[in-house]
Amino acid sequence: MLRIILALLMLTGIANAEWDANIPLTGDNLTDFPTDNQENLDRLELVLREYPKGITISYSSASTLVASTGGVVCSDSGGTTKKFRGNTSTTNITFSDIDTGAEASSTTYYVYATCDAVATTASFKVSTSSSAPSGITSYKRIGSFINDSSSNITASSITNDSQWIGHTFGTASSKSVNSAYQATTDGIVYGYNYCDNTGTLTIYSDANASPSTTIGIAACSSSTTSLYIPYSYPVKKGNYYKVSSSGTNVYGSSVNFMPMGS
Amino acid sequence: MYAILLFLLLTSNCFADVFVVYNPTTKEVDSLSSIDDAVVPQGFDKKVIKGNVEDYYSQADAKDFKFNDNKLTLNAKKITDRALAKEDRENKKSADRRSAIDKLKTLGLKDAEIDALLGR
Repeated sequence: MLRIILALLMLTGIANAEWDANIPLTGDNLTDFPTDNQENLDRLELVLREYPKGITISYSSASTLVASTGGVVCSDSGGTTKKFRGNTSTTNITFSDIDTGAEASSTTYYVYATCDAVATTASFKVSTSSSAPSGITSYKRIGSFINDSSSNITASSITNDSQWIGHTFGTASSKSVNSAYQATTDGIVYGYNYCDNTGTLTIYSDANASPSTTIGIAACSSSTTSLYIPYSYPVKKGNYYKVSSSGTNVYGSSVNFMPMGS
Repeated sequence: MYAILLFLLLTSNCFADVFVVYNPTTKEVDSLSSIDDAVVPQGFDKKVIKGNVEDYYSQADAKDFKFNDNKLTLNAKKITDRALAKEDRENKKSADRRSAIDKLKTLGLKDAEIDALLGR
């Protein structure tokens, strides 16, 4: 009977794939110790066999992301319990995986691997929360994306948290003066102000569709004539930015956005 | 085979998207972008056409275009008016400078002193 209970406990432990930092237990004897130790090794194996590749997300369609194969370590909010998962096949992620509420347009969503289910593979949730998905105990944020004004996933906005280091700049694109844009990735807004006298460009950026927080100014002074004044400022993913000209002394100017690519 | 590849290479930009935000009444363009990231102001519309946005910005700012029948055309009058206004302001500035120099000379200032005062 005791063996049956022990066997059931072992199976449950592996299925939960939960790392036990307290092994070996203080009460372990020579029989318990190798068994407990093997449980942890089996859980560790789930992640190690997938490393060095963690689970990443990529674009599939305007409504679907794909989670790659790979390993992930979920944690509860207090970081006290670690659960290991190893996904050996890809998984589609859609808005049916949203944690709460309905799909919203012009919104930044975060993607989480979740480990609440008793399994060796991770599930996934989509959430507007950047810190934790609603209703989930064990999770790991793996990335984010923007759902645009037409409720389509913007491919260029997809960011994988684990791949941030080593990112390079993407291709810059021109924008218009006095128009507001939403940054689909972190990036740099840059350009020049061709002006004289008091011709001024003001660069605004914040979370509002009509940004009003000044992050920079490129201005000529009263004694200058036909100068090119360069500017460049960082913009956070999901925030809006706008370069506004004032006065009649801005003769021409440029606005560009250089995204962080992958 | 190579001819097809060359054709695709040369025409690949034609298949990119340009997101046009414009005023449906005046047809004036507010914004051009290669992706759907522009905020559409109230009363404005958004259309997607094929093309390369950089081809348009290399000619003029987005607000110098009009959008008619799904085509972008340069608003020549707007560009000319702006150039003339700039010329007028520069002419007035030069005239003001000449007038200032004349008046300073009547006060007895030397050329070097006037240059130091007004800058070259």
